[in-house]
Amino acid sequence: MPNVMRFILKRLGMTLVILFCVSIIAFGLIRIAPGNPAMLVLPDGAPEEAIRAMEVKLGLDQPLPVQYFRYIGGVLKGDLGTSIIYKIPVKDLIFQRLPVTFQLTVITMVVCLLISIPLGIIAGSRQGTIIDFSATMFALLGQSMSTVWMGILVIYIFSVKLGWLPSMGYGTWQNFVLPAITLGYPVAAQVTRMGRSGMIDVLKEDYITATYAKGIGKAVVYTKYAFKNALIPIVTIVGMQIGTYLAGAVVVETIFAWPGFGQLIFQAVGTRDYPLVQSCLLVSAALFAIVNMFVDILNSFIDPRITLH
Amino acid sequence: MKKLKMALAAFLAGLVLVGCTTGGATSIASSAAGGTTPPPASTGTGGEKTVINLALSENITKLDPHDIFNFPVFTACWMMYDTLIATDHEGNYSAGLATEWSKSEDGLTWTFKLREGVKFQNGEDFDSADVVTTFQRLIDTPELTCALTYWPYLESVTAVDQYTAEVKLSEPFGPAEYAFSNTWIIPNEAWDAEGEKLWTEQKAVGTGPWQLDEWVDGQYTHFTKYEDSWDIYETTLTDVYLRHILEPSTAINGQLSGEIDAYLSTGGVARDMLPMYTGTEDKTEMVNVDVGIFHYLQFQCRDGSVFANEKVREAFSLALDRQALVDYVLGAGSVPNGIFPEGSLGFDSSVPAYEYDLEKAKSLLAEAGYNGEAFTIYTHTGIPMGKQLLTAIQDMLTQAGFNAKIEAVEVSALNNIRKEGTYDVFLASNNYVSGDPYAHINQRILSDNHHSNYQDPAMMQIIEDSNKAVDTADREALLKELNAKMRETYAPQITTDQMQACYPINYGVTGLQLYKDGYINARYVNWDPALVK
Amino acid sequence: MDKKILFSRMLKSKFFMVGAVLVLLIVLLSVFSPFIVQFDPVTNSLKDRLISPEYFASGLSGHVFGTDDLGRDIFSRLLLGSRYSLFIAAAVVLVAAFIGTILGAVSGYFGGVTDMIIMRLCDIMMAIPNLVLAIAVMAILGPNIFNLIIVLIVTSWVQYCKVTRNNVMVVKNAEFVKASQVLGAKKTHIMFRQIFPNVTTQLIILISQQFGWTILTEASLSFLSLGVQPPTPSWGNMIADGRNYLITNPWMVFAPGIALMITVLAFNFLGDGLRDVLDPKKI
Repeated sequence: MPNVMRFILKRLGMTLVILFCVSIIAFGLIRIAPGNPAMLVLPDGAPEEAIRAMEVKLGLDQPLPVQYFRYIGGVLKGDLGTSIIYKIPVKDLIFQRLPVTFQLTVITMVVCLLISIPLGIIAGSRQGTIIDFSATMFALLGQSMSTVWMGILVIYIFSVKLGWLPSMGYGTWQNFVLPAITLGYPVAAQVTRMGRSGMIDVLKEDYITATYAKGIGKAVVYTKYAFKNALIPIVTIVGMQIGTYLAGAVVVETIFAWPGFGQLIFQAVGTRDYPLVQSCLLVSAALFAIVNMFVDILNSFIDPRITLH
Repeated sequence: MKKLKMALAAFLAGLVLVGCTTGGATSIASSAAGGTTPPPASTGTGGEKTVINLALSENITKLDPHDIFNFPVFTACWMMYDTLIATDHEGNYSAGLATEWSKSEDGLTWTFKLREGVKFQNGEDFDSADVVTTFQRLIDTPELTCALTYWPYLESVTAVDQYTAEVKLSEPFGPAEYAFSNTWIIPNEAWDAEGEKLWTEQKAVGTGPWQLDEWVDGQYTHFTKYEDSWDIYETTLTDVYLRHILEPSTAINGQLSGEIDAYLSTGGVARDMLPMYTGTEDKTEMVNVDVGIFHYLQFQCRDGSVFANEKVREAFSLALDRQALVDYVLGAGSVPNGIFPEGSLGFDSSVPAYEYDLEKAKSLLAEAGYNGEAFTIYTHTGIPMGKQLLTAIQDMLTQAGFNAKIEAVEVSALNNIRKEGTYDVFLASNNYVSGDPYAHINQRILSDNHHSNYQDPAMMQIIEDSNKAVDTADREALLKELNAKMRETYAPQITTDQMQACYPINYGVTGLQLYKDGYINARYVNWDPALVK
Repeated sequence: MDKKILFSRMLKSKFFMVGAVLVLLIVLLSVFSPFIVQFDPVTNSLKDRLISPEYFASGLSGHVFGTDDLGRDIFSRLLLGSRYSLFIAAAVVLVAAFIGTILGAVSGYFGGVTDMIIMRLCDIMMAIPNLVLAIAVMAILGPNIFNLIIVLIVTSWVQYCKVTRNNVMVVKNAEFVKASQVLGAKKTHIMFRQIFPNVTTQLIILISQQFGWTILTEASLSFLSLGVQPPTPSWGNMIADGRNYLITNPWMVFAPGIALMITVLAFNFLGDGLRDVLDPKKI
């Protein structure tokens, strides 16, 4: 395993550099945006002296480099800052929201893979059949669905018309169904297509024919040998999507009133809650990097030809 | 294959690892963070309803009773805190934690006789020390919303004896009772021990009949009954959940499926959404309340601005078919006659409603020499019905010959635009707490904190006089004068509508106080199974 | 590739034909929409609000999909909205492809420090989730069409850059390029005249796929009130405005939703078709 360890260390090092850049970008971006949080913690129409006093209190009157180093110094010590709007530590806010988003992401992905991988294999191995055609249509449609439209459509069908599932909120398993469908369909579509084309390519290869010659059954060949090859792009895509979803699926969370991480970032940008925005972006970038690191490691296990570097 | 399995295991382990780290330190809401708590059942054992779910349309971001700025926090405060003076929100004041009060001849010293035998939810006794702590905090921390909004002249507070407290002001202050009725009393021992942690770590305690159990950001605020409250009432309910649901259709679907007992949206549910309730007439009652929430437009009156010209402002106002806005865009409400909605101090029933006259608007524009100069009307995305109103208003203005663009920006961006005074017109909404327009006319007209640059010394004098008028009748007369002046000059603000809120409330839910200033008090919420059809 | 072969392949590829016909149809509809629509898509007619769809009962002169909450004809808004949605997507895709390709080509061709800097820039851009970055940049610039285009470009150029770079790296080591280097050709000549034509296939496919992505993202941003501002119609803000009217007039959401779906589907078909048509492996 030393190879893997070296890779992980190297990747973590690189991630740190990227995170450092992200922290500067986040810090800069949110401060260029017009308006500042001092005005939002005060009542609408507060006098200018009060706004200025609040800016001083929040340290917003300091030169930008001072503010940045104060912030990053805190982060290095494990302090993600205190939310200006909530007045509670950013860490608490993030740790309250992340599990919510995390559950949705994992459930979405598991269900999505359980459907799309078999579908892709079957479609790819029965090229040209009705099953193949349906799977391809299912996939193309999925890639063409806007989350906005899809979310509203499933609410209309399953909540409003049929009354089967709750359209909102968080708590029971029923609450997961509609957001997971909305979030998962485009990914399922992508995975199905990749699985299909991967299977088609690989079934043409000589070594597969050779396995038949050895008398190995069709089902075993498909799952054990052929599919393995289609797995790499799928793992890559799924990893990317997990990273993106962990950062929050703002639209889905908005439509389904889901109190997740994406809502928190969206709201924080809107209220110019500087420390909250900065730390949320940092955390999401870190999660993204970690997930992608696992993806690369996983891929190197799947295909020994891929070297970790 | 073994390798593959290992790899998959590693990947899953990675995911779990991420999950664990995210699930680690949850100090805000440990039980809910895991996400396994199902929404509480509406009925307890034996069919008796013990839990009630009230949907609110905004989030709570903190529970500091002196630093609040949105509707749900008021609702939350009424559940758990008390004020010295209670109010019916229509200008009448009654005993709260103070049983009697008096003011000195000069209106500067207010003396309160406090209620005895009151206990805070942490067991602490209520006495004059708590009053001192509360007002001293406002004196020491002038940037608190409560201090900024209600207490410009707060000077000192003293405990005369255990059940008598005295508050001194530096200037005569007309709306003092209104200010007292909006200042919640916090416990002194808990404050001394915990300070800001009372709100940041959810340790807030008050004297009301409901105590805070838990606030989960973006989800709900949960209250449980406090049996030892001085204000306890007979009810089967043991738990109240205020659920913060920002998407209206989501909240309505929740009510249709029985997860919500009443949907108390700020400003009411949009009329166009009411068809969703079709078929539930025997389950849900539509309660209509004329709330004092109104939309207004503020003009940029700086020299050189299009709206520095009174005729242009008048034409603008005449071009607005307010009745159509009320009938079609809002679906209910009324056409106002000035900046004081019906029910608020200063409302003058003898003044006719704003006029709509397209032809007159066109001729006024021609007279004023308006040559199609483009201007932008801003609003922010959080204004209820703001975007819809503005889209309709833009079209009305175009018909009169105005060249108006509209832009709905984030609240922060609008704040900045107002701070810089770089707008031509903006649309906003407001309401007067307890029906008293003090904060609005002082902050937004007299101090001109939104930079309309409108200058009219006579108008400003009226506002200043009204602040010092200790006698309510005098104040009312001055406010009526102010309204007349604003109607005459169309500056710096004109109003477009007064909203009528519609609250869908299930039969059986009682005790909700739906105030005429748009606030909702659920402190005495109750359940009467006899009312269920 | 021979034009004849290309043409015959195009005819043979079902995906390509369906996609091309649909895309052509959509573009034509949006270009000629001013001649089709019977109602001003912006002017309110409050008395005619929320009229139920008449479909084609009275031809195009009726409210085909009914009216919205401000009495505007949904069909007219749909057609004129297509112009904004397509224009935004086209502008974004072309500019982003241009920027991304140049950076990718430079990165792939020169390698070394240049490559490292550009690639790390890509990594950073990819580390911040697209939609979140778009939300933040939109907050800075303020919502309007021009800024929306900028935001979408900022979030999408990386894709082109990565694809071009990888392809350039492969082609760079091809024999014919080495030959020109030996013969002393200028670097710019080699890059644009020799390497670039060999990476266009991938680029064309990517562009057609990104077209759909851009339309979808525009819809998401408009849904969050960060996109096209009222009263200008765009499919995204039509869906956002209509979501509260699912009971009263579901067509307020259905019309733009279905239009969005068909358009993106058409571009996805086209993209797949192009891959079949241009794929060198199939020669």
